[in-house]
Amino acid sequence: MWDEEYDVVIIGSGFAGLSAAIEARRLCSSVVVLEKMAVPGGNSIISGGLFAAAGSPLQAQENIDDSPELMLADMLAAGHDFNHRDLAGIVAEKSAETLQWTIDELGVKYRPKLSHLGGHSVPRTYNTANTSGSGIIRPMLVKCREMDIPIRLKTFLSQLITDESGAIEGVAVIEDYIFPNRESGIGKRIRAKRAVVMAAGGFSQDKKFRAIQNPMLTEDIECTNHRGATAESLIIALKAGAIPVQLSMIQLGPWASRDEEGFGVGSMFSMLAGFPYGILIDLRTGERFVNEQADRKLLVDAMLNFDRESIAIVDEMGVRHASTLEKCLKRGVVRKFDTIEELAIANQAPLIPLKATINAYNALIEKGRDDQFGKPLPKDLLPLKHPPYYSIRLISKVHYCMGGIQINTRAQIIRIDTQQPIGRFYAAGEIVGGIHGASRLGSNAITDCIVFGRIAGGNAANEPPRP
Amino acid sequence: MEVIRLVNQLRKCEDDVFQVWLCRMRKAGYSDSPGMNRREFCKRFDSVMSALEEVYRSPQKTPFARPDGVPHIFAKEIIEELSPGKNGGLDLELFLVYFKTMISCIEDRIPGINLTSEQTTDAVLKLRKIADLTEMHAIADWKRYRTVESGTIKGPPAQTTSEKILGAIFMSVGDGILLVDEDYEIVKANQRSCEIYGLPQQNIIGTDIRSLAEDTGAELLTQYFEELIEGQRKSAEITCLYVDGKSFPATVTVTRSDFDGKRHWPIIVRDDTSRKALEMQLRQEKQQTEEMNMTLKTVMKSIEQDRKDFENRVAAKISTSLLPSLKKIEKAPEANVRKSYLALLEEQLVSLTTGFEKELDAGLLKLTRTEIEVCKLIQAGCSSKDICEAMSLSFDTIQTHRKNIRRKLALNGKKLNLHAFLMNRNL
Repeated sequence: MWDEEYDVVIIGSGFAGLSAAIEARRLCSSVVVLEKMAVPGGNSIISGGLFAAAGSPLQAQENIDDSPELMLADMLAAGHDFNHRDLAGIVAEKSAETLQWTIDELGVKYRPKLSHLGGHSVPRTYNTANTSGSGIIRPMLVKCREMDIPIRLKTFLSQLITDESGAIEGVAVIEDYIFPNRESGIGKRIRAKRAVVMAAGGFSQDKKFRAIQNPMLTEDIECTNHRGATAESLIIALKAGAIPVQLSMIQLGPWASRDEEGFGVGSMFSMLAGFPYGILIDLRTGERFVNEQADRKLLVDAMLNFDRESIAIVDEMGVRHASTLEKCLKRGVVRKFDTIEELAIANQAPLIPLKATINAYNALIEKGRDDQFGKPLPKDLLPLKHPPYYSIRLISKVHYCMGGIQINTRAQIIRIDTQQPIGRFYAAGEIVGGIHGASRLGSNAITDCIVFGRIAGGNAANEPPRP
Repeated sequence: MEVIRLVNQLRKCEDDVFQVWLCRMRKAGYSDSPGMNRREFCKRFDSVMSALEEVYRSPQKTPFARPDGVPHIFAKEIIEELSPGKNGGLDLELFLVYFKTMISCIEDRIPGINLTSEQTTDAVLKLRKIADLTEMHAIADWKRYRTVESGTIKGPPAQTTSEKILGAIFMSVGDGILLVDEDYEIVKANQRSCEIYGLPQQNIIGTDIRSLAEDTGAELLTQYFEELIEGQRKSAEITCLYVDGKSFPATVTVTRSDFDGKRHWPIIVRDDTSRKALEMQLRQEKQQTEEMNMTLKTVMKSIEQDRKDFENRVAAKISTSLLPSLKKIEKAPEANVRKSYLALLEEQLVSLTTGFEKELDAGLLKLTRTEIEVCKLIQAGCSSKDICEAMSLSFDTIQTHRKNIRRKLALNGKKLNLHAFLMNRNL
């Protein structure tokens, strides 16, 4: 009946899946990670590699006062209180120790400077040394290899198999699967002696499914995710009785470049330099229209309003924070100009209003006045007057699914009819719904994925083995 | 005086005209078209303004096209700009939309200037004439120079079928293909190369090729990049690194091809893991066979040794026991004594067979040749009837033989069947 047997079977090889695998393997003898794509790492490996932690060593070093409570408050504010507070609380609570775990256990290298991302009250974001999620995924893959955790690529979850009590007993998979061809591959059944962990990610690339949840997200809206970010595994979990939570809450990224596909290199430029150290203007008026450091939902709503055409402008001082600058310039995603005039001409922006906007903004900073849009003006923020100037053309792209399936604080998936946990069935990462409410704060996803990945993996491995 | 004022006023609101124009163009769906920037616009605007000034200043010239060859006035710079090779990506449709929108934006401004209604009408009419003549020239030129060109240029040209085929082949070939630029960065990678290194497109693009190989491999690649002349090809077996840090053997073939004035190196990568594994397996199998041969030789030798030992033992026994007994029988005068020696000899002969798989039975030695023949048949499982047929003897004779055999083997009175007794005996 079964072709293979492992203690714990994990679906997905991103941050959540690999953290679960590493944690589970410490506690039991056999763990397998199943990945439908031909390369490991899912969307995590192409992400920006930003990790938010409250109470971190760098915060102590920079004398930044932060706490899990403050982080939770930020999450709830951005999430419009749609957040499942107990789950969000765990993410904030365990953020610092989990960050430390990535350093101590995985050997992840971070830059020695914190970033301040929009919607966070204080700087609390660590950047991986290579400004990419691969800076965490690669050490995780190395760890998996050392711990003898096989990562089976091109292996697609086709069905969950339950025992007579309704608990999950194993999975039916398609091996040699060629995404997204459902006719490819060969079927196989893998038994999970202890539990199955769903860490299959979000569905931002699933144009049909996301349009069902939010019809405003039409097919022509671009997406930052890799093409495997589709809903098949979520649907399988729902079929097994999981509770759908806030599936229509799908986040668009306001920082993505119009001049490249996907997440690219421009997104990190905007996030690390353009928004915090520059200004966001509407090309048609030359004026600012929003707090550049607002959370993603506010920004996107403001950008989409009145069909605004947005670019971010930053100067030589601000651009120092952009670790992807060289790549951006090389690929034409960011353009460099000696004067504001040239920048205005190239972007077809009205020069006089643009100059007025910059002057007004500089006056705010120099005179320490409050910004009308509420942008926080920290002391290290400098006026925009150091040439050369840089601009990036922006377009909102579908980025993250806040919605997903419901779990409890032990990462157990809850059954829709009984409200009780489904036996031997765990979830972590973007497939889980409710943690971030209406809008996820930048750099909170990696924290969430690894915190709950480890919880799910640990609890899965602690299930008593089936005979 | 009015003329100067009119043109100056119009020039002053150039900025606003540009904004309005840009807005209208965008509304019409031309937001990303070539030439839609301020600088280009100003040049064209100036050209129209100069034409307008000229019309007012040189009343002898006329903006009307006349058959008598009197020079007429139009926006010359614009027409020059549109000459072949200079059109900056504009096509006729885009030009007309561009130009007509501009003229109408300028026209909208004229009533705002403090002129009498007559002057206003005059100015509008003059502007329109200039516009018409400019358009006429533009279209004429277009037909003259661009009859071959057709179709519109909007955005990047659509991929031709052959480009699509090429792209599809590139993406799907079974070997990894990477294109590396002068920064040693990967700028293009196919699906297989992603799988070989375990990195998605988004990650592998922009990666330094040297970070995907172990040090010696990276050095070799760098050396190739420096050495290769265009069109040359070199290949080598190097050790590459998978995303999880595991190393694997690979064959890389590096070529150089220059384009856009820069050096590029297409690299073909073949993962040799399975080939190497097969080679290893073959080597192991060969070694195993050789070991087996050695073992067999040793076994053969020891069997030979055993045989020799056995022969020696038998020879020794014959010379030490059997031959002396025979001598004694020969010399013994008494029948009784001879008989006892014969019994001894019999015992010694039987003892020779100790350790054989089937030991000789002393009783068997007493049997006659015919009786042994009968025994063999019984042993083979033949019935008395079968035996008499096989030996061409009568049934009774066979029965007699059986009786004698039982007596000689001391089986009389025992409940042991002759067939069972003979089973393990060596005949």
